[in-house]
Amino acid sequence: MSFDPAKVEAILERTGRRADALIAVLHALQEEYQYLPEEALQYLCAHSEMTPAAVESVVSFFPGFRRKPTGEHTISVCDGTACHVKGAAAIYDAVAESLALPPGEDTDAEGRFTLRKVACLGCCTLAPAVQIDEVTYGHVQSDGIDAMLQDFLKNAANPQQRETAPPSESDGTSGEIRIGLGSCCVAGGSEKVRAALQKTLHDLGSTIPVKNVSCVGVCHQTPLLEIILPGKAPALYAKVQAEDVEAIVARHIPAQKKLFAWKRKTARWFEGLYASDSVRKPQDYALDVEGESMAAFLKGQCRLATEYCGEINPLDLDEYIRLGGFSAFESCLNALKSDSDGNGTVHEKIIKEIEASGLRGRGGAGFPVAKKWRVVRAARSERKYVICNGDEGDPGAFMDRMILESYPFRVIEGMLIAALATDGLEGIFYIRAEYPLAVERVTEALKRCREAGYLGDSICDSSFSFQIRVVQGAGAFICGEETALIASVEGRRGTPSLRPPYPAQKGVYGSPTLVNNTETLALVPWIMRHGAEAFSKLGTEKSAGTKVFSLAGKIVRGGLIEVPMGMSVGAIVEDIGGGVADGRKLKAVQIGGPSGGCIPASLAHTPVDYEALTEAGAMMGSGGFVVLDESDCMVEMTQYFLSFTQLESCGKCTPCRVGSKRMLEILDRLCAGEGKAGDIEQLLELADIMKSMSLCGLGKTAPNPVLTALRYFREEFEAHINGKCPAGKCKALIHYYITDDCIGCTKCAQVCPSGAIAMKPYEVHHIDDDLCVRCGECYQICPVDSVKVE
Amino acid sequence: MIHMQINGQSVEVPEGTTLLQAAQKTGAHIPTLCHAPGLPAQTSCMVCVVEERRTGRLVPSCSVLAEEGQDIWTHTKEVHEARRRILELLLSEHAGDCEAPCRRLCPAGLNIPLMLRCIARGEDAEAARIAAADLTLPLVLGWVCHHPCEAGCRRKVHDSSVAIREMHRQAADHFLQKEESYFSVTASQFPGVAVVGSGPAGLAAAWTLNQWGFDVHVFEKEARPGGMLRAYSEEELPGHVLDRELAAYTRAGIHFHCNTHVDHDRLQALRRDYKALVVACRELGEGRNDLLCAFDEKYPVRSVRSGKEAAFQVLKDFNRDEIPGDSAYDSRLGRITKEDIEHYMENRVSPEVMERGRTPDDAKAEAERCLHCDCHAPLSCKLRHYATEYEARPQAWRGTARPPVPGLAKDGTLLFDAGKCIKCGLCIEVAKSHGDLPGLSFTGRGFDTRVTVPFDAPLLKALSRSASECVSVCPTGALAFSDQEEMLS
Repeated sequence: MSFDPAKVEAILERTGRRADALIAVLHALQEEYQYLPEEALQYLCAHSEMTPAAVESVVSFFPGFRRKPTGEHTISVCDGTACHVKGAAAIYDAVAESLALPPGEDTDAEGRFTLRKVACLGCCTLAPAVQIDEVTYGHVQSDGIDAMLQDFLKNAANPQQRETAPPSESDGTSGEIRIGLGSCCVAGGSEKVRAALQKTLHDLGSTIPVKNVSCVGVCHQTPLLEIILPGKAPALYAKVQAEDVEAIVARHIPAQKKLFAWKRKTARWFEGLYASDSVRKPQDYALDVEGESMAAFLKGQCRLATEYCGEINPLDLDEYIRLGGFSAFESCLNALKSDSDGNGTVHEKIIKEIEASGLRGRGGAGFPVAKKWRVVRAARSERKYVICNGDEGDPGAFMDRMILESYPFRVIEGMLIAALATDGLEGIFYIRAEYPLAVERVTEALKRCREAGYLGDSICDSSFSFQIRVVQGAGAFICGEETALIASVEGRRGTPSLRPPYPAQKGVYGSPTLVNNTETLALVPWIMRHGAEAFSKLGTEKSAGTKVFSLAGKIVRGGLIEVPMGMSVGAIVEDIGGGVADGRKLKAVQIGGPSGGCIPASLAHTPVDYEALTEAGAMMGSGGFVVLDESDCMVEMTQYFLSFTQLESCGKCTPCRVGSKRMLEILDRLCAGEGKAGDIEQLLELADIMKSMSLCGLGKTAPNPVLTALRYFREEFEAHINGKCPAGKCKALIHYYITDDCIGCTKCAQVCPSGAIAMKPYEVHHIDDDLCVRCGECYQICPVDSVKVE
Repeated sequence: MIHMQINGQSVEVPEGTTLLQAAQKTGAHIPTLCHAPGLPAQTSCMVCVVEERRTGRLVPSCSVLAEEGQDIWTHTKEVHEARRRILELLLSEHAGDCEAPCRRLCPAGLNIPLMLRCIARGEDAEAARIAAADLTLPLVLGWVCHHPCEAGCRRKVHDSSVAIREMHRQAADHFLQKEESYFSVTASQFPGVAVVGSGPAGLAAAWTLNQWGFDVHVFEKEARPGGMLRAYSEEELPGHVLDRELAAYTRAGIHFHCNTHVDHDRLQALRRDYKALVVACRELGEGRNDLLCAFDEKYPVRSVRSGKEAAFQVLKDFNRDEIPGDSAYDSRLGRITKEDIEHYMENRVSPEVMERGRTPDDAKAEAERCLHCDCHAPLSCKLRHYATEYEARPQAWRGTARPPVPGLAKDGTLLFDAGKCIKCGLCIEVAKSHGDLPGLSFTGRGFDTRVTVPFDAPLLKALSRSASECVSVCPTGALAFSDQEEMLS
C-alpha cells in the first residue's frame, strides 16, 4: 500500500496532535498499513508535536510495532508457559519449516505469512496455541501445520463476520441456548458453532434465542454449548463442532417445519444404516454438570470476580443491572447526594469498607487496596486519574483477559466506585493489544454505560463526573509495572521510574493516579454489595477473599478458576484440576509466572495466600498456575522464564539490563550442556545483584524462578553441569534410541522431520543420532513405548 | 529542615535534597555515572547506591530524597561490593579498549597511538618526546627492538601493521639531528642517585630518574657506556647511533663515571654516599635481596622495562605518589577477526589509508594508518576511574561471549562509539534541553537498547547546539571529538 498523507492526516485529526497521542497514532497507522511506513512516521514528526526522538524511541521499544512490511497474514505462535511446556518451540520451528522461511526472515517468499512469537495469547488451556490474524487454533501439532494453514486459507476466503454487539434477546420464558464466546471458546471454534446453530434453528423454525455468554471457565472443554429449556434440566455439551450442532439440537428441540422434520427423519434412517462405533453420537458430547468430574471442577470454587460465570451476556447492561449490577455504585452515589455538607464522609466510608474487607491488590504484590486509595484521596489535585491495569503480560495467565471479556460492566463499576472514593476525574483502561476481544468488549461496554448515564458529567444528577477511555498497550510486559504503564499512557517509552513518588502521589502528567489491577476492581462491587465482612470471611487472615487462577499445564482439567484464598496448591491440582494429565507424577507448580517460582510437590500443602507463597519463594503474581510433571526439566523451565524477563527488561537500569542477560547466558550454557563448576554460585550472585538493586519490580523479582529452582531442585542444576538432564528435556544432553520392543510399525519414521529414522516395515527401527534433532515426535507417537530417551 | 545521619554524622538538609547532595555536604564522595548536576535524575546506572541502615536496603542516592531520621552509610563493605558488582556488569558489555593493544604489548609501555597521532599531525617533536619519555632509548630501540607491538596492531588483520618501530626511530633520529636532547635540562631537585651498570636497564633507570629530577650518576667499568648494547654488530646497531642517543643523556644532565669498577667495597661506599642506589649489573646484584636491581635481558626493550621499574621503586621510596603506573583499569576488546575488521575500521581511518599503498618511508602517511584503538577519554572516563578505585575484576563474568565489535559513527570531528556507551541517557537529556532537533534517542529495548540519532540524521546536525556539552557530560569515551587529546593537555 502506498503512502497517502491524507490518511495520516485523518488519523491525526481523530487522535489529536499532542505528544501523548503517539501510541494511539501508531496503532492506527499500523492498522492502516499493517506496518509503520517510514514516510508516514516522517510525516507525523513534521505535522504534530511528536518529535523524531519520541517516535523512534517509542516505535522501537514496543514489539507490537513493525517497521517492515508484513505478509498478508500474521501467524502468532504463543510462547506462554502453558504452551511452552506443551512444545511451543517445536510448533514454531515446524511453522517456519512449513513456510520455508529464509534464515533471519520472518515472512515467506510469497509474502503471504509473517511468523512471530507472542508472549501469551491467553488461551493456556488450548496449548499449544497459534493465532493466524484473528483466528486461534488450539492443540496444534507440529505435523498438522500444513492442514492448519490450508484451513485458514480456505476460511480466510469467506470470512465469517463476528457479531460484536449481540442483541439481548432472552426473556427467560422460552428457554435459551447459551454459547461461550470467551477467547478460549472462540479459539475452539465457537463462532462456527454459533453460525451452525443459528442456521439449524432457522431451518427448524425455532424462535429459541441464542445467547452469547461469558467465559464458562471450563476452558479445557471448549467450545461449550448449553441448552436451557423451561421445565427441563440444563444440558451442557463440550467440545462441540459445527457439524455436530444439528444432531445436538435435534435431541432437544422439535422441528416446527414439516419438510425439515421429514428430511431429518430420512437422514436419521440413513445414519442408522451406516452407524458405526467410530461416529460420535450427540450424547457423547454431553457434559454432565452433576457428574463427578464437572462437579469436582466446580466444587470448591467460589465466584466473586467471576460471578455469574457462563450465565451472563457480557454486553447486556440490562441483565447486569437485573443481577444486582451498579447497585453498589448507585448506593455510593446516593450517599454522596445526601451528604449535603460534602465533607467527604462518603469517601471515607467507602474506603473504610474496603479496608475492613482486607482486599489486597491482585496484580501481584498484594498491597492493601484501601491504603492506596487513601493516599490518592489525600493527595490534593484538581485532576486525578483511575487506571484499570489490564496489561496482563505474564505468560501463562489469562484471568484479566477473561474478566474484561466477560464482565466489562463489573470492572467499570469497580472503577466508578474507586473514582468516587478518591475524587477521580478520568479513568483509563490499559489493555494489552494482544487481547482484541477484550478491547472490543470494553469499548462497547463503555459506550453503553455512557448511553445509560453511568459515565459522563454529573452522573445520575450527582456532583460526580467521570469519563473512561481505553488505551492499548503494544506488547511490552514491563508496562504492567505502574510507573512504566503511566509512561506509556503519556506516549513515552515504557520505562519505570523510581518510587517514591508513587503514582498515587504523582502519576499521569504528575497528577495523583490510582492504578488497580483488573481483578481487584472486579471485586470491589461485590464487596460493596455484600459488605466487608462477607468478603473477609473468605480466605485467610491476611489474605482475604478469593483469587482467580488460570489453571494450565500438565493437568486434566484446565481452566479459569476462582477459589478462596488459603486453599492448598495440592487441592487445586487434585480436586479442581483432576490431577496431573496422562497419569504422570506432579513435580512442581509454577505460580506467579516470571516473577514467581516453583512450589515443589513436597510443598503441595502450601496454602495460596500472599505470605505463604512468598515464604515458599514463589509469589502470588497475577495468578498463573502452571502444573509441571516429572518430564519437565527445572533448568529448562528456569531458562524459559529468564529468557522471558530478559527479553522484556526495559533496559534502563544496569542490574536488570545486564544482569538478566548474564544470568540467561549461564542458563543457556547449562541447557546446552556447557555448564561449568561455579555456574550456580554465579547465578546466586547475579540474583542477589538484581534483587537488591534493580529499579522496579520486574528486575527485583526476575531472579525468583532461578532462586526457587535452586532451592528445591539444585541437584538438577548440578546434573546439568555434569552433562546430564535428568528429565530428558534439554536437547543437547539427551539421546533417543529404539529398543528391541519395536514392532516395525514405521510410525516413527513417518513423523521424523529430519529423516533420522529409516523406514523398515516389520523390522526394528534405528535412530541416526547425528541426524536426530531431538524433537521427541517419535517418542510421542510410538504405540509400544519402544522409543527411549537417555 | 530534615535531620538525618550520614556515616554516623548528623546532617541537616532542606526538604527535597537527594541523599547524594546530603552526603556531599558531609564530604563523603559517592561515585556517579548517570548523574549530572542540573539534569533530571536518570536513575539507571545504580553505581551511586548507599545503604539505608534501618531497612538494610541499597538505594540509588542520586534520586532518593532525604527523609527525617534516615541513617545512611555510603562506604560500608557491602556498599563497596555492590558498586564493584555494578561496575563489573557495565564492563562486561563494554566493547572497547582503554589502551591500544600495541601499547599493552610494549614492555616499556610506549604510548604508541598517541605518538603516531602526533606524527600524523606533523608534531614530530612532540612524538619524539613521547617516545623518549616511555622508551628511554627511542633511537636505539628503533634499531634493535624486537617490536612485539606490531604483532598486536589491529591493522595487521586487515593489511599489515603500522611500522611502529620505524616510526619512533625516524622521530628520534630527526629530532636528535636538530636538537641536543629530548627535554630541556632542569636543575636537580632531588638528591643524588647512583646507578651501577650502563646497559639498557641501567640507562633506562638513569633516564627515568633524571626525568623525575634526580641527580643521577652512572658507574660503568668499561671505557664507554652502553653495556651489552655495544655487543651489536655495526649493521644491527651502528656505534654512532648509540653515541648520539647517549650524548642526549649527557646533555640531559646524567653523569657517566666510566672505567669505574664497582666491587663490594665500592658498593658500600655508594650506598653511603648516595640517597638511593640501583644495581643494573648481574654479577653484582644477582641474588641480593637487599639491593634494588634492574637486569638486562635478552630483548633490550625488556631491559628498559626492568630499569624503569627500578626507577619507580626509587620514586616510591621517596614517597612520590604521582607515579605513572599502569595500575589503571584496562578494558579489553579482545581479538578482532578478519570478518569484523572492515566494520571496525569504518570511520577510524580516512578512506585513502584503508589500503597500504605507501611505504613506511613517508612517516606521516604511515602514522595516519593507525586506527586509534585506544580510548578518546583515557583520563576523564568515569567508568575507568571507578573501575580502578573499586578494583573491578575484568573477567568477573567469565564465559560470556565478547560483545560484538562496534562500529564507529563519525560526523566531522564528532565521534560516537556505541560499544562504550553505558546507556545513561545524559546526552539525550542535554540535547533535549538545548532544543536540538532531532537530537538523540534511546532505541530498542532491554539489553539491546542503543543511543541513536532518529531517522539516521547526521550526528553533528542532530547535535548542532549541544555537541560539546554532550561530549563533556558523557561519563565514558563513547562521545568524543576526534581531535581531542587528553594525554597531551
